[in-house]
Amino acid sequence: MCQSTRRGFLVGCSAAIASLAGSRFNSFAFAQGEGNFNDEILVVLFLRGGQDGLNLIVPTGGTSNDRQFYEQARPNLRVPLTGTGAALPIGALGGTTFGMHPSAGPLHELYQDGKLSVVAACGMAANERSHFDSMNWMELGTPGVSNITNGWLTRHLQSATNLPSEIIMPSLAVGGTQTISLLASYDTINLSSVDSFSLSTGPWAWRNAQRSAIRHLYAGGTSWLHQTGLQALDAVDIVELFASGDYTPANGAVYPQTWFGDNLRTIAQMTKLDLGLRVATLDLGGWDTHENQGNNGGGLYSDLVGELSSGLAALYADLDGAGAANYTQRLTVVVMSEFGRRFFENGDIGTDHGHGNNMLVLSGNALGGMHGTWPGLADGQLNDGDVDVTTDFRRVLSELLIRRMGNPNIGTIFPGYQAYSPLGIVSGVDIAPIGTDLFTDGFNTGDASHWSAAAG
Amino acid sequence: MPEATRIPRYRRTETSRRELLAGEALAPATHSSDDAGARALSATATNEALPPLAVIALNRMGFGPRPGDIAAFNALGANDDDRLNAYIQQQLNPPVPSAANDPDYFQRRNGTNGFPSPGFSTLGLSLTQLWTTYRTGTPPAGSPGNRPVLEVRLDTLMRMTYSKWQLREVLADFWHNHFNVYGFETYTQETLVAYDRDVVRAHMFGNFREMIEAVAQSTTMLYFLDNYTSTVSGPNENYARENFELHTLGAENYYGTGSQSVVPAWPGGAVWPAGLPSAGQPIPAGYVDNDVYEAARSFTGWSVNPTTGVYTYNSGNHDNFQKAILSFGVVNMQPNQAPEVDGNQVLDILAAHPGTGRHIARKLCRRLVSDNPPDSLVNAAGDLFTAQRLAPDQLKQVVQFILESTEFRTTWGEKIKRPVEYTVSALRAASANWQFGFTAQNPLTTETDTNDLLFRQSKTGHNLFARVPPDGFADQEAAWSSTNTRLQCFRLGSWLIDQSIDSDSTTDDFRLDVLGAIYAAYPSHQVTSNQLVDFWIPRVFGRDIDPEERAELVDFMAQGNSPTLALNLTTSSTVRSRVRSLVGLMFMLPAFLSR
Repeated sequence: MCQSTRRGFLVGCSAAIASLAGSRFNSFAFAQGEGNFNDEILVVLFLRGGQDGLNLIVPTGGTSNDRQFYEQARPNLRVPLTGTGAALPIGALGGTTFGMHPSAGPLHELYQDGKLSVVAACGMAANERSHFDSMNWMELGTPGVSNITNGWLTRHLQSATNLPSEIIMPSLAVGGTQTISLLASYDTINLSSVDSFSLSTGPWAWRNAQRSAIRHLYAGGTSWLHQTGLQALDAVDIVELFASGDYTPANGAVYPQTWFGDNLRTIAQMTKLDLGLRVATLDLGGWDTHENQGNNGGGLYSDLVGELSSGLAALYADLDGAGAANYTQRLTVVVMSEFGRRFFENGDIGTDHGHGNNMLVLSGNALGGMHGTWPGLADGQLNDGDVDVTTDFRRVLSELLIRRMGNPNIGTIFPGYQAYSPLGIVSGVDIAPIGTDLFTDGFNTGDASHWSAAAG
Repeated sequence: MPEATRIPRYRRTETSRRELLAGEALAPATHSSDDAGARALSATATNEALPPLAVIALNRMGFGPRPGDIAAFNALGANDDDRLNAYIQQQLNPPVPSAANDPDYFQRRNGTNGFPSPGFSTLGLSLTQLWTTYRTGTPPAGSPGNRPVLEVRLDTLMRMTYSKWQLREVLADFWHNHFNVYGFETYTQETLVAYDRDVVRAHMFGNFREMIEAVAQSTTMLYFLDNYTSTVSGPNENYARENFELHTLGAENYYGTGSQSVVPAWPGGAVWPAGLPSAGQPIPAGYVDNDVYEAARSFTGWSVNPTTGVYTYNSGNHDNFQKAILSFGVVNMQPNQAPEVDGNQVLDILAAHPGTGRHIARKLCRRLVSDNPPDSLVNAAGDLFTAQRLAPDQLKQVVQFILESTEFRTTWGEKIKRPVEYTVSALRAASANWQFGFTAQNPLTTETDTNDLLFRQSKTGHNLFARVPPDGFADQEAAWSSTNTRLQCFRLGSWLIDQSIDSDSTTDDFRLDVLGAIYAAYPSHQVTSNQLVDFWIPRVFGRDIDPEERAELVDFMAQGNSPTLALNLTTSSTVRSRVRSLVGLMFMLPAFLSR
């Protein structure tokens, strides 16, 4: 095996990993649990700062007056209907037709191919406009409640019953620190880049000996620091062993030359290692566009949409191979943000913190089209002057969990959430959601009197 | 197939590490109610016995010992009590900073005694000078617009590494995170010099009520949380909300979206003190959204003069109607109060609320004692905070109370070093001669090694003034135990002992002078593996380590030879590089990470 040339592997890595490495060459021989070693992969992309969904999925006309309201509310920022920077038509919801931002061309193509579903007016019922609370609550999966001890993806991995007994890399958090949605997931590999995820540092001559000594020293204790240190050393072994060398995207996929592009590329690379990856998270920031957002579909916001769109399209193309390389058949990407922005542009030609926002789902198993309930933009239809929330974000995520990931433990993953029914975003088998929280006795839920008040 | 002892990262068997950790998580001894997630991870970070008091004090009142610090601590008195009390008194009462009382820092800061100048040019500027030069004016040719925050970052690292007044730096870092602003955005990057100097450092041993007024009226916070645009016709709740949620009462005292009238009373029949709105009336246990909205209205008009960059009150933008704040919905602020009175009364109320005392006390105890400090300590410190709310040295009294507690001196290993603390403590342990500053050749470019260090620091997820949300960096181990953070710290430690990229190829120039220290102690340059390990253990750890760990380090150094064999450091470059690797290895050990 090529791995035998890895110096780090020889000294730092146990024989066990070698046997596991072998397993990926003979299908699922390794999997001894009830699930397949490699199965569905859920990628959660969080757009930090409050993405301006009204300019990504733009009202363009129809029988309602929403286009007119939109143009009035956003005399500078509106995406035009014709000429340079015109919205790209996608479909209708209620009496309103919509188009995509002109810089979302690659996403528009995926939409036309039925690989992208758009869910309008998602969010939390609580009209919360603090970035901090909103992100926290969405990633914890508990609107209004900040004192739960792990993230929604952590609870998904802990409650799923269709996973094999052992996975080398069940979850991946790409970025400097682990995302809150994977809070307290001790199996997650968190890395900021493959290149720097290595212990090949320090004086060259003693790297092997040093690495061997580190492992001995960490294996000698059972404390928290020893345990988490071993996790890091294991993760390094896995990444160095399997992800060494250059990575060439397949199918001519070209990622944006940005952190975001690099992170997407890392997810594709890790996916193709066939190490059992189930969940991956990454971020794209910069959406808090309070000023100079960009007029007429251009500017700063347009650049961000372009990066988002070309990045997602590259990921999809890279993973859209044939046969065993057809990863898109088990890939689901969900794109979310903490809230939308205000309906009216502000005095600085930007937008302030708003409310309802769209969510995007990109998948080989997407059913395509627009989903949800469009609340409308007329005076009486707005919530405190902004796009209302008509679909709980947990409903979208629950559909992905049940139909794609096969995990119906909604009451565990989203404690207190009972209102699930599928929207038809992706294909899959409907399993009745289990409303009971499996871990009610296991997790410290804090002071219940605060909960009920906060959950309002 | 050999038994896969550890490699599978997910395992649904009884013995998996995941469940082992979860099992530890289920039995926290104490309960803190304001933190997500991290609370579950209250397992002791290390299983180590209590180290000497000097090690506890120097690691939790500071950034770890430099050579000589432990001896200096032990010279402060005849017994542990005397030494700790003397050190607390010394550190709690830092003199006005000067080259005389803090030479190691100031000679670097000022470029004296043969040290190169760091090239700082903004740290002495007034707020208006910063504003008119870097915000509204044109920065000096080639100088980046964010030079002020870059300089504060470098200066802070220099202070953490070299200042004798370590507690001052611990507290400055604490309060910067408590009143966090992201330092690298428009308006904060230009003004952070003033925020650091005139707001955080000016008040951190003083009175909390004065401190939150300084924060509320700081240009940096007014922009960061948008209050500068908050007007009667367009109120912005951002600052008011974070003030309740983060700066004062804390989320643990949040009662959601319900009515103010249904919030229970603070236990024990506490009433608002004289001189405050609602004086003599019961204190509600916490706040609801309506309190936030009422407070947002109270702060309308608190803004910034766009010409000078200084706080200004625009009466025309203020909401003059009556308000009801933390009063069960009863109006306690009359309409048309004098300028700024509404906002100042909100600050009065928040600073006097016993929930604020508990919130601040828990965070300080978490910083100084343990990730999960016992409620008894938190409540006692919090009640002192509230009782001393008018004292000019209120915050100093609370810190002193915590440092003098039994818990401070009997707790170890319930915290880990966050990545910046990790880096600084490595620099201190190795007595690094590090230049935090701009190059002499190009005064607009950060020193190359320092630039590299900051890049590597950012990879850990922890870099000064780089936390974007207003909550500040987390202060519990769960946030700093991901594989990336741990690995990037290992890499930093390993990088520090390696060859400097600033050096030319003809000199043996390394970032940390690992060998110079040994040569000074062993002029013959003939040193055994035992001696090398025993030379560095007290420097890096400040204490003895587990004998098995020491044996492992000796094995590494001896590489199969007798640990008593004298190694010739003069003739063997491989031995020299092995010594440096030995120190890098020490920087990776659990005993170096715990505090």
